[in-house]
Amino acid sequence: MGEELNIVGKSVAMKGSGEKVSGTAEYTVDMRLPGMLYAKILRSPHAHANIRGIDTSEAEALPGVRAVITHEEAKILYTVTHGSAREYGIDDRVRYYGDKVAAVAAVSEEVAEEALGLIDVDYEVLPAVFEMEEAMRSDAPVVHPERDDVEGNILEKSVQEWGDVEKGFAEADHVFENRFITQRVCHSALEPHAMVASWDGDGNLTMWSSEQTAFMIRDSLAEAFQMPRSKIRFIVPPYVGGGFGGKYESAEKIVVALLARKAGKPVMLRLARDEVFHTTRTRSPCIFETKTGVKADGTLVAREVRAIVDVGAYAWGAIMASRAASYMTLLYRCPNIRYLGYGVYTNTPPSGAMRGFTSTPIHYAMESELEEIAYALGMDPTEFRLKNALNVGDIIPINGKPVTSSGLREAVIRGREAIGWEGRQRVPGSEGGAKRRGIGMACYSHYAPMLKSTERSVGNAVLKINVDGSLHLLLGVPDIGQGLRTIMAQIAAEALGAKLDEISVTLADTSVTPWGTTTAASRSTQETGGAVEMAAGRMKGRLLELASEIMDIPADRLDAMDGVVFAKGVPEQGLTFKDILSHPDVHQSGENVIITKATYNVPTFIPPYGTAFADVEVDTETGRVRVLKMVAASDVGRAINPQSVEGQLEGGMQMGIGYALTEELRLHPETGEPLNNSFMDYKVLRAGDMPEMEVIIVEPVDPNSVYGAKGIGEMAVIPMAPAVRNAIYNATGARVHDLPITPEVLLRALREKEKGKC
Amino acid sequence: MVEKIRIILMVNGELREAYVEPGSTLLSVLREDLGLTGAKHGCGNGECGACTVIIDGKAVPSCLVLAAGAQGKEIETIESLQRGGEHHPLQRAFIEHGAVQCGFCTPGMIMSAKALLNGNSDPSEEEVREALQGNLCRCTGYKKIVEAVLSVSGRGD
Repeated sequence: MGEELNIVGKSVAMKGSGEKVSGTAEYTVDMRLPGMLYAKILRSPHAHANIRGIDTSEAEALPGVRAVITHEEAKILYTVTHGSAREYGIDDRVRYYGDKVAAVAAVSEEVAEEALGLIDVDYEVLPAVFEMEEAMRSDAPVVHPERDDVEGNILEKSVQEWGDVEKGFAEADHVFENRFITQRVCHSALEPHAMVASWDGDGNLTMWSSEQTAFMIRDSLAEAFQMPRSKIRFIVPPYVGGGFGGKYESAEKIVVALLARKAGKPVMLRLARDEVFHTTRTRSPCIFETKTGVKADGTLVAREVRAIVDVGAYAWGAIMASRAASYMTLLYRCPNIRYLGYGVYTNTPPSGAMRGFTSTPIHYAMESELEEIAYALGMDPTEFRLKNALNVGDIIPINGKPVTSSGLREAVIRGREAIGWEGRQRVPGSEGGAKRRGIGMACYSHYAPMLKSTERSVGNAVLKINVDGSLHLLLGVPDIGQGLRTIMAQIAAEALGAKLDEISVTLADTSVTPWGTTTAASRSTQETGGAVEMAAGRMKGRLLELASEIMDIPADRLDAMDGVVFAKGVPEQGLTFKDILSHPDVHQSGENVIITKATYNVPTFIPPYGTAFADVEVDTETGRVRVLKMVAASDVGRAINPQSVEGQLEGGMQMGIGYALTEELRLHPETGEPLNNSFMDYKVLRAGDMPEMEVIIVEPVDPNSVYGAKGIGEMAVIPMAPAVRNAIYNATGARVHDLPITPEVLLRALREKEKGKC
Repeated sequence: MVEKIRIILMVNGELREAYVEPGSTLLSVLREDLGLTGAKHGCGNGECGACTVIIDGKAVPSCLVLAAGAQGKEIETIESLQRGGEHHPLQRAFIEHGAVQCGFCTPGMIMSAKALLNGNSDPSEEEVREALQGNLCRCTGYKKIVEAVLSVSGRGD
């Protein structure tokens, strides 16, 4: 690109952090509307049952109760994100322990809670199925018998193939096979899900909710309630306390809107932490049967994965299994690839998007297998990966587009040095002693939008300038805490030549901002950022035209920086934006009200490439693992706000080490009841549990993206768990397959290794 | 409904009166009755630390404290830190070090850090991590938070 940048690429404090440190940032849970009521939801104590009858009369009679609803009023179909993500507001059938049965709005949460206890439900308990392989059998209980488009419990079956895997395996010198099992985990954003609904006298609905998308939900609500979109205003409050994919889909919005309509008052629902754990979306447990064929020199010739994805009682849609195939094609060259995936309903908590959606689990399986193959071939695992990595210009099979930039080689080289790669064991598990050190690594690539050639990725932006030269940027997507608001303002300031602190950003209000997709899939920087750059460029063009007339200098000889328009080469003699807009000629013509807008179609597919390294100490007597150091080296195209990129990758390590070692939402094997739906029992890593961390940002500026940037939010978590797993392998030689790697899992793997020796 | 009782709390140097149910937690009284919504409700079980306030110099999860039992004690909340429009050094450090992402854990983190620094002006990194062990963060990986606290104590960069 070669251009000099003033604001993009500089670490700046996140907009809004002044409010956040002061305790004045208003989250959805902090809202109070006059007369507002509080909702509570009665949740099923059975994993699978029909509701034969329900008596709410006592609950309705309790003083302070203003509305009670059941499936009789709330069996309204709600579809989000994809047509196949379907859930009723409240159904007359419950499909997992914790499913919605009834809801109450009352003057306080305590009264609402008391009323729940007065609702009498007659359940016809049905056989339930909790294991995905069991759910695939023809005699298994059917979770969604009402769905004609689903065969048994199989929501989707996906077969995707490139080349000829049989031929590939026949040509291979070595073939490796494994079976990996990953677990159900929870996003665990610190802010519990919360929402408020309010109807006005004209029948317009306004909702505020802690979400990752505004417009898609507005559209779903409009469809569910058969209302014109213009009569629903959906607002994501300026502050959202974390998302990670988990604030997207809940059908509680139907329930809260219905309660508010019935009560004639605004209603707030805030989920309790235990509800967040087991009734909001989770990351699917998966089984992967993997098979990889290589030549003696380490060239990949055939790869096959058979995957089963447990989508729980409600799913994000029929892409939970099929998407994972993409991630077999983004990273390494291999002429013969086959993927067979099943998405299977069970009577377990709902599943949905989670950071590295459909990508984090399969990367764990693939990168674990590749590490073992490298050692089996006597190769350095990093060289083995680089030998097979896609290079710039290679075609990515999933959508036929070429790689336009890749920082993988640089990331691997710098990551190796930072972790002390030479200190690894050349033969895994060859060192003795109770406590053993090991180093492992994993690579990744990830891209979610536009995986199919029919998919589009579109961003919108509106920019308004005030007569004093300050600016308002309006965007349809929310900031969920990762810093979107800040980097969008940086892009606008850079492209326009404005002052960063004079740009205010308003987000995700369907009556105010332009349409936006979602804050998900690490798409916003590229998609919405592209639109911001265009809208700011148009604003700059118009300001230069106005300045040109005032200054009597051709517009093409003018430029702008820090809110001042000046003749190129003479920055000291310029006009501020304010000077231009308040100039009598401009003012009288009404030209001082400038609004520019832009729609940006993402032109191509721009995946990032990166790697993580882990250095661990394993106590082979107790099975405990201590991660001593982690290094994340990632290609981000260009870091718009490097401090934010570091924050994403450091946070990704916390989530990824947890995925590797401690996190799992466990269910009772016979009842499906959650066993650890609290922070006491579900182990999210704390400050003292974290290793030394190092982040390396690699910037192979991509020619096709705004300032060359790529998304990073999702990617940050993907390589962490396999890197930790591979470090444990390096330390002990134990071939762990299942997550999380608890002491029990590790001790079992160590015993298996010992047996294998005999 | 339960009969309410009158309580008087010393919050941020001011005496505040509230009529509350005997079982009301300090967190709920701060948020619902006194309009101090800086302390956040993250779990209600004292496991996440988002509701941390300082009582008589100690960082405590306010969701585990009965409001009535906090009478006669000095309660400090995040709202007390900003003086005359100026951020407290800890608040500034959190902003500058990028220790804030979604911000939901931030008030509790800062109060835990403040309680630590009140009793130990020069803590080691290990002591900082230990003091923050009750405060969960899902965004940052804690590194920048620890760096922010150390920078105020004088041990940081």
